Amino acid sequence: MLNRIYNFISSFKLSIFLTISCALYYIFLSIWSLKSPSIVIQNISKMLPFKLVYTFLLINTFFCLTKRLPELLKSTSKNLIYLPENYDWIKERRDGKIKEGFKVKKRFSSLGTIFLHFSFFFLALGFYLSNQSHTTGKFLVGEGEELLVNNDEIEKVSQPKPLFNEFPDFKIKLNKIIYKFWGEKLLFRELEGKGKIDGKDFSIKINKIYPLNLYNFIRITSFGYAPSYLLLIENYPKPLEEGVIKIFLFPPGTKSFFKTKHFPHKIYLSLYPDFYEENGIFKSKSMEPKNPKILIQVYRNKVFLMEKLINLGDLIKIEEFSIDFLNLFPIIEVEIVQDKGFLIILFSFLLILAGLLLRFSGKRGEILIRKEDGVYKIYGKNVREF
Amino acid sequence: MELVEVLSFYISLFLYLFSNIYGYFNYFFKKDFNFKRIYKITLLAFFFHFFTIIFRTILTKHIPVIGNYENILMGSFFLVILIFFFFRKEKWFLPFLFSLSLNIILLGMAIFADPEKKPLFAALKSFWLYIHILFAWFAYGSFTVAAGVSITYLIKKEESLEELIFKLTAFGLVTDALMIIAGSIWAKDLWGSYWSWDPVETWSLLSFLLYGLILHLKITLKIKRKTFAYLIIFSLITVLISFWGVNFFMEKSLHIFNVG
Repeated sequence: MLNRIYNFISSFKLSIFLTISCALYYIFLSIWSLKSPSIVIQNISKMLPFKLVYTFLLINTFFCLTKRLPELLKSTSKNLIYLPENYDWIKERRDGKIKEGFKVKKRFSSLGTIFLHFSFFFLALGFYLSNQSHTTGKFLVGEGEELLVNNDEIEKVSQPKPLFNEFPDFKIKLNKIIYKFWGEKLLFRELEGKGKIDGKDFSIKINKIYPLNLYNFIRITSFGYAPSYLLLIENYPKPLEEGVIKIFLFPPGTKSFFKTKHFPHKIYLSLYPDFYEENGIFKSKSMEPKNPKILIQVYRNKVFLMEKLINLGDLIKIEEFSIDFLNLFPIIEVEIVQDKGFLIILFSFLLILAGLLLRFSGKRGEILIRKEDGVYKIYGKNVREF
Repeated sequence: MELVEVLSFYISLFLYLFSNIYGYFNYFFKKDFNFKRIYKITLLAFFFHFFTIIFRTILTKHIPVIGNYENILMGSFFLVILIFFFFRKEKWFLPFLFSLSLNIILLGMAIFADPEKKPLFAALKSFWLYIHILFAWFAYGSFTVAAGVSITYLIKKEESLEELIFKLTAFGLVTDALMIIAGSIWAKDLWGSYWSWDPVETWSLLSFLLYGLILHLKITLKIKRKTFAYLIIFSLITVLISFWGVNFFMEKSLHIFNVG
């Protein structure tokens, strides 16, 4: 009974069936994705049918390999020429008439086949681990800022997965944000953050990650402008509050808010970095802060108090305090990712490449032995006698 | 310079078209049959095609890889390289013509694509982009040529054609795997994950699985030659969907080449 189950699970036909199932499943998803929001499509791997097919394919691949591996290794470690019946004769001939023997090209071709097929197991395993651990969090860091990033600081974006561990704590100092737009459009020609992490130089780009350790890395996900401000009250010599407000005033017109520490006021801000007005509507000519203006809306609890379009440096009087938005600083949103399948997937990619290289480089080392007029003759363009 | 690019593009398209029609005319009416002449006209078209790419590169200051127009321009270029490589002998006259027809359809679609010049965006400035698309062109080019040879096989039923279909599909499968790997590594840097179930990714995987399955059916289950040829022609649909279908019908794709 156990033998039958083992044969079924390690069956090649089952592999074909599961692969076809996957293909049909993908077709279904691809059609479905036409009408569905992208978040639905990106959560495909969480669905039960996918998990079932995937797990079964993983088990099948593993047993296929364990069943066939001994035979494959055996054939790889020998002469690698297909001589099941005439092997002894060849030895005789090698020792007798042909002193040096034969040399057959493409010795490791079948090893390439093993690598290639074995890699799919590691690939599946890597994706499984990735699926069970992939958790992301986000934090904001402005140009010139030094920040101690710990798990409390990080805003968890995705639901932690079963294999997720805490993100590592680290100290980041962002010295410079390099950004360049394509003309007046909201498209980056360059976006890079440079500085130090735990004393070491680092650089992250929109398409370049920085690894924190074996399975945690950070990357840039967004860019914006953050205003600095002063909050003053009459007859008090020092500002009551000051600093950079870590909000994202980008793209132009995006509304964001902050709360003052000492008053119950909520201030909404919309930035127009290169301001102009068209038919009473505020717009921005470009993404660069060439002529920045901020539209502010102030609420005390839920009571609307005022709305005003201001320049940087304008002092605004709001009931018992005044506020001054002094400057704008570039700020980036950094995503921290934990992915425990990352290295295994990378290893499987290397195994695929090694497999393909061994499998397809050189010509096939097959020879044919035929008895003609009572004499054995060897045919095959890749057999070299020397 | 822009005018030169447009002129060069249309001259190459016209020459491809001319050599193709002339070739079919020769084949079906057997008048003045001359493969070398057709080959030379196609070669001339290829040079204009190459010039178009050079002019485009000078104008945009990067290799044409952004948007549908540039992707078609480069994809078609690699397809013609494969056609020249595999069908340089006169006995491959018919697959040469069929594959060239597929190339003309491909290049013709560039007329309807937006040719706006765009800079290389920050997201695209990656070594993996070039690796990814280079193998994509070779993979999709080989599958297209394999489909062209399959059509020829169904007409002529020559055994040697079957071997060629097999070789082209195997080559396509290998380059397809490399394309997916390079894309996946790039995706990790760009989107923070190797795989995002993006429609383009899903369809690429689907075409990879399908071609892999066909090769295994051929090697292991020894399916009939005719069935093999039909399957190869049918599978080209997945390639077309991966390359264009997703771009034209799915606006939600994360893939950057959607910008065209």
